[in-house]
Amino acid sequence: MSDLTWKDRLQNQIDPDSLQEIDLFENQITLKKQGKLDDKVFGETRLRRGAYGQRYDNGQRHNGAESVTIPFPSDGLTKGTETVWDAPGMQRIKIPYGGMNPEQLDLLAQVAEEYSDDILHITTRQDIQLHFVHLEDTPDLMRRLGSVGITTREACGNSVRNITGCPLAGVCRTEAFDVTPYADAMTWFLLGHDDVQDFGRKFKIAFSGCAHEACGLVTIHDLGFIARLENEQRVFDIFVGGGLGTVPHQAQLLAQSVPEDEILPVTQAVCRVFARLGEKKNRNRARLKFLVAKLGIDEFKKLVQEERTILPHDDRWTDYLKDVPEQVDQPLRAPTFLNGAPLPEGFSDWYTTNVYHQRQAGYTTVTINLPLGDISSPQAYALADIARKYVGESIRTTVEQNLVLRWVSEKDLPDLYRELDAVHLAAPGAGTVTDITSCPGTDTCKLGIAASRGLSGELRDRLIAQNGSLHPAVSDLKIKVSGCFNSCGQHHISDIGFFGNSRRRNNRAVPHFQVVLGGKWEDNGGSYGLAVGAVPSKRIPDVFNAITDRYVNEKEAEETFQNWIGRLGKKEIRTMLKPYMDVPVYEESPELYSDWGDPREYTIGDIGIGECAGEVVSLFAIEVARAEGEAFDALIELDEANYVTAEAKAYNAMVLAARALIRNEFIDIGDDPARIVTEFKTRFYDTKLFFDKYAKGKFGRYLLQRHDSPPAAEQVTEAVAHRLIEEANLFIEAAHACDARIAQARQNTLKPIL
Amino acid sequence: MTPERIQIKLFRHSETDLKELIPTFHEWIRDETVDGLLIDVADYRHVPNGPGLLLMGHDGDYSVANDNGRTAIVYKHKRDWPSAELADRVNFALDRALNVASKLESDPINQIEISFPDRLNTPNTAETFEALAPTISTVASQALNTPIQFTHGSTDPRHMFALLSQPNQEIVPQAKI
Ligand code: SF4
Repeated sequence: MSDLTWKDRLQNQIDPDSLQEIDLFENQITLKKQGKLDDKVFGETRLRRGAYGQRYDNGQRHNGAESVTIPFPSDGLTKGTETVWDAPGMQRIKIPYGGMNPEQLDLLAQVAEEYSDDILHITTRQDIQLHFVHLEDTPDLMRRLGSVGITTREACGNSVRNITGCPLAGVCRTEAFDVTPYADAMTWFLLGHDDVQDFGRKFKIAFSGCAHEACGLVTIHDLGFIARLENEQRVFDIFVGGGLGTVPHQAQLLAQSVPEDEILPVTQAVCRVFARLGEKKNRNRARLKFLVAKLGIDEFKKLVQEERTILPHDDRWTDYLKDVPEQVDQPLRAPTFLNGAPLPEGFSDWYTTNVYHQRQAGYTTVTINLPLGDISSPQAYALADIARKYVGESIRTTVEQNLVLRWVSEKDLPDLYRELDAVHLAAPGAGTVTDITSCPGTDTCKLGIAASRGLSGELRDRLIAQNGSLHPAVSDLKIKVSGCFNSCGQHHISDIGFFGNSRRRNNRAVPHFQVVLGGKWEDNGGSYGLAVGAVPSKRIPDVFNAITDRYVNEKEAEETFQNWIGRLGKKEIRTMLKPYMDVPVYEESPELYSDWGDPREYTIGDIGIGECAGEVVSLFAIEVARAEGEAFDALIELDEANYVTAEAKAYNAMVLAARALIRNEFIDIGDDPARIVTEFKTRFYDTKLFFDKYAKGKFGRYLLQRHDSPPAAEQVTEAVAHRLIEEANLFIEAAHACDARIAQARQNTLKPIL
Repeated sequence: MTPERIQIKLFRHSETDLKELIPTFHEWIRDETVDGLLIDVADYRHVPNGPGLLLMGHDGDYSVANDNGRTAIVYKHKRDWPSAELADRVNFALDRALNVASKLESDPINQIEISFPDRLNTPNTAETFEALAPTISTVASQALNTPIQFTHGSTDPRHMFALLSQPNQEIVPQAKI
């Protein structure tokens, strides 16, 4: 034992630039403690080091009875706006294209034991997250990661996030070529680059080896690359302006057949245009997708081309290319084939779902199906050993929150299975309906509205219990769950997706999930599903059964779920959901008033419980139901390709929701949309009553913008109508939240009198 | 240097229904039933032999997990120690672990593991074992009022340094806690 610090011990094992940055961050922590750094500046600095906030970090927590202050000892010290110093946080760790080696996995397991809760959580963007980390532990945590070549730099904040890539790159049977070296070069080229330091929001990049599979999810990214061979030359089709979030945008084609030596400079040019013209003040309009939508793809292309021509040359654009042919994984063992030897129990199920035959004969890629993306530290050590024994270096994380081992020689599969099974890492069902993707939700995310992990765990347990009796058409479905409209669980690109929201009944909040149907996972997240109705959280498993039972009974021969949903039509779907949507009063069904895995009575923020137990349906509830009906009609029109009508109905739905709020204060508002919008603006938007804590006035602007600039009929495409319907649904959600806040404020005012 | 993080694991010979403990942990936060600044409940029941159900705190975390057919009642102290001395620290962590065990009705404790999630100060080596084991054995024997001999747990250098008592020694009978 000695008095050495991690800094002393590791200084020769970390790249000097990284070392210096971590030292600087540690100094900034000290300065902040001394009150010498502004909250906002420190907050962004912290985020750029991947040290993120976590639920209750404002120092408040509802304990089931009331909201109480957590008595952190930090005595008023903060680490960002409204973020208490001692509150535990989340550390995001970048894993470029998901690639890591056993030494890195070992180190990750160690830091999880020491600074976190013994769990490595794989995210939907191939990062790893540690939760419940104290800020003051982060510099040493970063040094230790740095000693094995892992960085947390720019893992959060307004920066280039982890660059994702197909976990099968280099071994895939259908890829054009291995995108790994390009994703790798892009990662290190952009990390800390001057041209990516002045963004208004985060910037996400993905690489895919082909257009038709899902692995890279290029269409949901700010910038995406799809590999193609053209006359035996490697080229990329480049897409821009995609993103999920509250209102999803499909990426659009920026440039086709871009030669490999051009991808770094084109990216740099895109970044410069984004930094120069992207929104900076209003976070909610600051993603690249809004800039592309505002300028139009042709103008955006022109600006990128102009920027590209004036970029000063940089040798790094092409230096890496000379090594590309050599950057191929070296298998540890010779290729072999299963030879008819007896197989362990459970092997067949696992082999069917978790084993992928690589294009290199005799080799397979094995998926480790992780429940909710979690692996414990002891499991991680065991997996690192297994990787060393069977595959050497080649471990990757996936966007489905799993891990894969590549280059497993086929004859080794039974032994590998046994060793994985011994540490509970041989769960079958990878990529099937039981392999549910979920964001952290209310477990740890401060923006979470409902328990996405609680729901995912419940669905998973029930589906696994039915294993063997599940219809194959159901087994193949994808379920993805987000804890709120921000879509970190990627619910838009699943067959059946859910995102958390809440409803109010008699002054009590009820956790709900919006049901999102018909999204497409293939084709890199080829199309986005649409919300069809909000259901109390506890009823979601029943809703899932109702939908899938009907699908099994009614599907035609080869009909996909997406096609069946299209054929069924939103109206019929709504009829199917309707019995599950009505919320009984608390006294009848108290179980609906808490969320999965959390026995506390559900609250959003500090919304409390009303004193009056009488059965009262508020005027707002009646009025807003009309808005919801109108938004739903808009969906039906969209289904029937009546885009102009769909768009108009979506607008009208927002007007009706605004009217519902206004009528609480001004009963005679009437029906004139212009008057309603003016009153809405004066009473709810300008006063910020309608503002969401995090999204601010974003949802209110959906109505104001559409009202001020209605599109001409010929401009209303399917995409335009689709987007306005999404916006209308979010506007209605925001109206519900606004009504709840106003009701709570009223109750607080009344309390002393009562 | 003294370890900055110490973890106590008390084993019982049968498993626990962790789901039933979720409301209990929430109540403990609300009623401040156990020592330390408690923050939230983290549910890892889905990870086999994982950390189970955690009661996350600022200075220390409590958890109950199922571990290969047994229950592990765990307390990990992380920061804000009342003393800089190794013996005091182990005693302090043991006291919190035993206190929480006393609140959970179950079988006697029949094995104890004391580990150190602090590789800087307590690398997993024979030297660390030589240096720490006597003090820890004395502290544990006194705290548990029974002689406790520790062996070096896993010697894999990646793993955290851990001391393990003899298996199936009835260390703390249910009646006593
Ligand atoms: S979708 Fe919402 S709840 Fe889930 S991680 Fe993102 S912001 Fe948090």
